[in-house]
Amino acid sequence: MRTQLLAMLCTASLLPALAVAGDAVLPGKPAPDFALKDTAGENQRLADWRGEVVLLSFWAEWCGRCSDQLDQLEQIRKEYAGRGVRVVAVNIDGPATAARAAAARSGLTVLHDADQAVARQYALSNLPLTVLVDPHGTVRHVHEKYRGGDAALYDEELAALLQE
Amino acid sequence: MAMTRIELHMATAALLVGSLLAIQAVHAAEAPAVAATASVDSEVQVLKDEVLDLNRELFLLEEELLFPANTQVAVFVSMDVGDFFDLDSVQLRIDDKPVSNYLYTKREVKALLRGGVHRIYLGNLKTGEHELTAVFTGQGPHERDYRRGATLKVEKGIGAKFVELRISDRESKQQPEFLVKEWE
Amino acid sequence: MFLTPAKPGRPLPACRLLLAGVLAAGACLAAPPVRAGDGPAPKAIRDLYYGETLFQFFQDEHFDALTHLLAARAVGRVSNHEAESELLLGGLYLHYGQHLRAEEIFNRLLTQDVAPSVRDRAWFYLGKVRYQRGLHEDALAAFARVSGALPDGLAAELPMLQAQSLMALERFDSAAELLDGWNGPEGWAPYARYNLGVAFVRQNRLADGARQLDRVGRSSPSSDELLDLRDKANLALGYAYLQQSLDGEARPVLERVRLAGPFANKALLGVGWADAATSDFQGALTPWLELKDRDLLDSAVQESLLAIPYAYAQLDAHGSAAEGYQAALASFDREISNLDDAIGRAAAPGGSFVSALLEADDPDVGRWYWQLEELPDSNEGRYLYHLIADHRFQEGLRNVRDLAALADHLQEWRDKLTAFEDMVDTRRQAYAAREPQLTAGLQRADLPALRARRDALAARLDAIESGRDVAGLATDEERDRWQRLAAIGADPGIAGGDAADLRDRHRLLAGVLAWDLDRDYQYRLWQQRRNLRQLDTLLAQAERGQAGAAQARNGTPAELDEFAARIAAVTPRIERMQTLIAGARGQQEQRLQALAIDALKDQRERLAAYRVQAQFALATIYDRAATAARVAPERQPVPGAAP
Repeated sequence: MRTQLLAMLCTASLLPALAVAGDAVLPGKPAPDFALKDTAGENQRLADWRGEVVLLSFWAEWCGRCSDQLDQLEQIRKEYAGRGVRVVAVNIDGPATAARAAAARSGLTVLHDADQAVARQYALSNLPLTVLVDPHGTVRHVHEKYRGGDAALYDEELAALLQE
Repeated sequence: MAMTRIELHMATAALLVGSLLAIQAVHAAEAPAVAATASVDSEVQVLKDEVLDLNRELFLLEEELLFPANTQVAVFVSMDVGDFFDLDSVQLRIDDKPVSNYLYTKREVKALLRGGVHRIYLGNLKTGEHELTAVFTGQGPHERDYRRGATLKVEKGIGAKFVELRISDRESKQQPEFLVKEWE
Repeated sequence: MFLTPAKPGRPLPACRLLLAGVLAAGACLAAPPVRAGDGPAPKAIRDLYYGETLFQFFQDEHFDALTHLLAARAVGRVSNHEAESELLLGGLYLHYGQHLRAEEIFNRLLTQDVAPSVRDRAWFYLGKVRYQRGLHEDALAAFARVSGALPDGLAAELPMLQAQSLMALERFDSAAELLDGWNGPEGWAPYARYNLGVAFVRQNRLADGARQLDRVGRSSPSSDELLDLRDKANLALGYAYLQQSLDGEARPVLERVRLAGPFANKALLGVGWADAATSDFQGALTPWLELKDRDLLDSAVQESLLAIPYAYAQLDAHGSAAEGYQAALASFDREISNLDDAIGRAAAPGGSFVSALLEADDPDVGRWYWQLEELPDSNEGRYLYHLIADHRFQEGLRNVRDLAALADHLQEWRDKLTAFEDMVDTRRQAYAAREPQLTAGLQRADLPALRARRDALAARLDAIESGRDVAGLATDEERDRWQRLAAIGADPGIAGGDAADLRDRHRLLAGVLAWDLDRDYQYRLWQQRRNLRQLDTLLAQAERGQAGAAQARNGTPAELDEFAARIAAVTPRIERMQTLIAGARGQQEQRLQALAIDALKDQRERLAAYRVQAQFALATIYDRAATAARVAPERQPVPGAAP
């Protein structure tokens, strides 16, 4: 009987699949999962946000374009509040900065990637890097850098994702 | 000379009297003539009346037969422009198919400006969602050319659907736009 | 001896004939072009179909506007504009000649509780109906009830109608007072002033008449119709002066008439007589010579043929005078012969003359005819122009045109009805072909059952959500695992002391499963809710579709029957109308034929009368020459005398 039980227990699979780090972040592929601390010190995991559309953006204090984009992200967060969209700004500066605190005060979810591990997972090369993830956890759009017209683009893409 | 003239004038006088009498006769004759005219005219009136009645019925019959209420869609054009705006044409597409390209004459534009409404399209559509696109072109004040469009998603239900395309410059003076209004 | 109160020794101008004619004709023809007047003030249009009727009305398409308005009212599409659309209907009826209907409507409106602006307009129109029916006292009573401001078009018409009514009641002074005191929009007041002026003149009140006619004659109008009226007024005034031998006043007035206008001929004649009256016969010849080669059916031209030799005679150029009379005789003879031909043609059975007239019919013939450089010899267009000067002929022609339009219209409908019948048949067949499938399909779809299942599913999700029942959203595989683990956990074998390892592993696996279920719960809940929403949409569509199909299946046969019945009912009515209209047309054409013959005969008689005058005058000249030769045979013959 023990053998039987043992056999049964062994057939149970144990580990969930993990996205392999280092895969290019491409539309159509699953978004690499990660967990990081927010400015309140709580851990936040990407996979927990399945069911929502996630707008993920990597930024740094020394990047001028990034601070422009942050204002826009705050607008988006307000506009889409309560409609199933989560806006997440991942800060890759090492030490704590005033900018990070300020961004967090504005209402955005700000995560701290102090050793840039997630940034490497996402093959970051240009700032800001903006990734739109659908409710199933799949990457749908990737944007590098930030220009004035991009706000309208994010809007369009978000609207389309929500319609699905 | 005198004799000639007298004779001439007597002849003329005779004619004159004759013509005066003729004029009197016209007036007198007018009374019975009027009566005769009245009876024929009133007959024409009666005929016109019956034809109008018949016409009205046929008009309704045709509309109901060709455009029954459950599929009927009618699109109207109206104008509400303060300053002078010379409308040239309106194009209408439904579900991306052109259904009307109407060129407006001066007379028709005047009628629109006075508050008239033009039924530019009458057709049949299935129940459900349809896309209606309209573009108007014309000349505004200071001879500027205008071309404006509007797209509308229309949900066709069970009853007849009316859509009004109103060219209006209420929102921004001297800049006419399309306002779209749906009526049931 | 002389029949006028003219100064003794002055010749009696033959133009009195013409003068009387001018003044008589003028009085009954001065009416403004028929317009429907202004519509209701452009307020907010709340019913689209009311606006559509206005669109046609503003373009003077009255038959269409009437049809559409009647149809719209019949199906309740203009319910927001009850009073306004009634007014419009009344105005349209009035314009189309349906006086009785129009009157009914206005009377009815006035018994209802309507806005003052509607009331005022109703009184106006009622007055107009009564005026047109000749009930002038009643018309004035109605006009007096208008208390507020009318829209511009009607306000311009009001003084004219009031003045015309007063004139019809021979209250000329009241009419003059009204017109003099009017300071509203000018509009059609000139027509009333003209008529009043002519009325005064005929009553020998020249000063009063002159005041009215002069005012019209000095105006600066912009429209063609008003320009014509101004010419007419100056012509009438000029002839009135001539009649009273006030030649000095006559000339400048007549010179105001446009030389390129429909009244130019009569003005030229009058100017000549003005000169002749001051014995300036040389001067008189100028305008008369201009006239003589123009259209011989024009009475002014006819008279010029006699006036010219008359002037020569006065200038002692008797040779030229004789020649002139001879030429006149020749022209008269030629034209009389043409007229005889035409009369013969007109009287011939078959009515081809009238048909030819109708073919030449052109609503604008009055406008283009006098501009012709060369006159056609004896074609129907020429006679038509003179015939339509007769009011009754014009009316008759209008009736025939209207009836022809109605006949065409009805034939169009008749052709369409054939198509409708085909449509109904086709639909019947299509329905018959599809009905069995439709019925079967409707019976198969059990939508209430589906809806019940959907509701049960929704209730389950609600329960799972409120209790955060993570296991509720487990996949089949996970549920299987869960059950097997539960079975293992319940197995008594696992409770034994030596099964600690197994217990641990069981706890681990169960824990892992619990962790996975918890992790995926939120996402799965979102997915299921979304599925439910999609299901709802599909279900709603299906229910709508089913309702529509059921309605079509139940309603279609009855609907098709109704269409077929309506078509069958209307067909004999159309046929009957067509017969009646054809009959009326025949009658009207006969009337026109009679009027045409009468008018042509009148022309012929007038020409014959002029011919007699010419012969008389010619004989007198010969006679005189012979006498002079007898009396003084040794004298030189008078230069220019006929041999």
